[in-house]
Amino acid sequence: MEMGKSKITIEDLNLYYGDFHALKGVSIEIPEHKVTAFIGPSGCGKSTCLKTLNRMNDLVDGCKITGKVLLDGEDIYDPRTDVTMLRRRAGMVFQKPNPFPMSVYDNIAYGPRVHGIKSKQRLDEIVERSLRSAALWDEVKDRLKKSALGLSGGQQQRLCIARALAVEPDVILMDEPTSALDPVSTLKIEDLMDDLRSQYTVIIVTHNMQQAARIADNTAFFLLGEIVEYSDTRTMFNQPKDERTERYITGRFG
Amino acid sequence: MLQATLTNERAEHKRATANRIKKIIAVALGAVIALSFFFPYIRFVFKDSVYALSGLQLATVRGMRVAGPQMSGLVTIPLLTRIAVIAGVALALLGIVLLLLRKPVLAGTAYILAGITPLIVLITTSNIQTAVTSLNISEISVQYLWPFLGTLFLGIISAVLCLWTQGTERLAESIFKVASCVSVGSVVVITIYILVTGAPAIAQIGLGEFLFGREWAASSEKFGILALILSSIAGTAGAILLGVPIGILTAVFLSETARPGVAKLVRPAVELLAGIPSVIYGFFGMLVIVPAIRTFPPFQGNTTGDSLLAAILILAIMVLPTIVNVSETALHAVPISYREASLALGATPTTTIFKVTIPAAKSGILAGVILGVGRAIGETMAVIMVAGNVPNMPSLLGPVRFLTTGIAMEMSYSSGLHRQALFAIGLVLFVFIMIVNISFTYISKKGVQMDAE
Repeated sequence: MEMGKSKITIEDLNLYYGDFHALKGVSIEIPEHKVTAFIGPSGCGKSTCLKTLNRMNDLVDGCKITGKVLLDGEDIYDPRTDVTMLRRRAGMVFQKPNPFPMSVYDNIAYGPRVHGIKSKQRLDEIVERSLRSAALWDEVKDRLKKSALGLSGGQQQRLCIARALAVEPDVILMDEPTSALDPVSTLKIEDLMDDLRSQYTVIIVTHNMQQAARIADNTAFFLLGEIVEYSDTRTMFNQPKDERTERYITGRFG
Repeated sequence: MLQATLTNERAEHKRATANRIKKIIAVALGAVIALSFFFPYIRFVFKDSVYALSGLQLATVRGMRVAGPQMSGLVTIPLLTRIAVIAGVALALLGIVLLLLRKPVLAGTAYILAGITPLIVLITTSNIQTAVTSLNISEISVQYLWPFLGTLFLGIISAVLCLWTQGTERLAESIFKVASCVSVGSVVVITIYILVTGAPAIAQIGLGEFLFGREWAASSEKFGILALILSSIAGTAGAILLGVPIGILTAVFLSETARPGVAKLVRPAVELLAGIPSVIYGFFGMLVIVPAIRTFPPFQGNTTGDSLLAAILILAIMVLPTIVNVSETALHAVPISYREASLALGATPTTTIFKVTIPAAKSGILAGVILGVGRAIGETMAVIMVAGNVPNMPSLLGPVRFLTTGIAMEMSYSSGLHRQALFAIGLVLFVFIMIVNISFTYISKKGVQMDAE
């Protein structure tokens, strides 16, 4: 297990959607500047667990949470927590690319503007830096004022990553970010994640075990709302400790 | 197997016989229509002369000499009437020929067109009434005799019979088609009618004088409707200015922030607003808004309350349901993923609504606003009851007359050029509404997508 400094600590997290017990006593420590993957079959709670980290579950009616989620030692479910600040620090990239129906520039500048940056010069800098970090600058620099909806799916997803980077988060949460993309775009995003780890803590939910094997430093295997196994990726895929993990990663699950 | 073939043959035979009977009846009915051309079609009853004209006469005579109290004149038969009467017979004959040539679908079409011709006669002969009024004869009645109804109904029956020979599926298809033609046809007919009735007055008064004349005084033959146009525009603009923010914010409440239970109560309440008859709005305006304006301290003594402001307030309420409904639909159509993306960037829900959701729905919202404009500009009854109805240039606290109310107030007693001028106002109003509707179609085509800057 390559641990290093812990960025996020989840302690005995339980989550209910109404009567449904979606996460059962989840505890995990996620190290800083690493890529951590959550894998598991559909409905196992991995996306739900990801969304607890920036409190996007707050939007779901009837969602109840017990336990602790610490970001740099602070409990994000403390009533005094400013959700807006939390989401600034933990950016999110969604399963389907969801650029706003605005220009490329306005998409990236949206977050900084919301957080009060008005200076044209600073916005220009942020837009360029974010697009460069998302390896998209060269492809869109001549069409910043054109609609983001005119980009290809892969470009749109990198735009969404750039948009998340523009508010300068520490953590980037990715919810199956390549499941709607073709293999070439997927590869580009995976390369990008590799670069991101130097500056950000990346957590990715994926259905694709090869993807987890390629890019993740650590991997957690979820099943029925519990973490079955959590270790560094190589160990997980070569010598799984739990029989259920082995069955899943060898495709003999169920 | 053999049994099955036999039954089929018998059914086939039966159908062939039935079709032959249908065709024979259709031919016979066509012949009746053609013959009715020579029988009295319309009877015009003037004060002391009666003309009963057959189709042939309608097509050929120059006109009817009518003696009025001061003068006598020739009342001409409108060209369209003549064409329609001849077309009725020609199409019926064409239907017969096509049937004999075994083209039942074309024959059916010809019969339907023949059946429509009496309606054109009906519309165009009403112009005779206007022509007669200009001779100062007030008593005229037009009676339509049996060939008129005969052409109408027999034409349609023959058409049904012709199409029926092609099987019930084909008949059903044709009926759907005809139903849609009725809807579209109504629009076309009304458009033509308004153009035909409105244009002569504009020609006589002069377009510039009519549209930009500042004085409307029927007694001294002054027909300038600038004040009416400006009042209509001012009233509509004011209603939109007030109604749009309230309407959009209501829609935002319903679609974004209201708890489902609350939305379930508010939505029907807003929809109920749309169902209230405009005369009831008028009542409310008369009894509440007008007195309130009259006694509102800053205005007191300056106004009777019957004013542009009262009209604006009542119209602002009346446009709400349209704007709320259409805007709410547009907001609902904005993908959840846009809201999620915004919230995940740390934007507050309010920021998300104003920076992402509303802009993404803006073309839908704009469509709602345009429909609201249409409603406001066409409203008559409620405005009559609160606006004071004096054809003044618009001022907020003064009485004003709208285009709609201008027509409604005077139509019952007008005659001659005055009456035609009212038709011409109708034409102007119609043009306004057309512009509104065309822009609606144009904008709603663009959907929920928002343009990049």
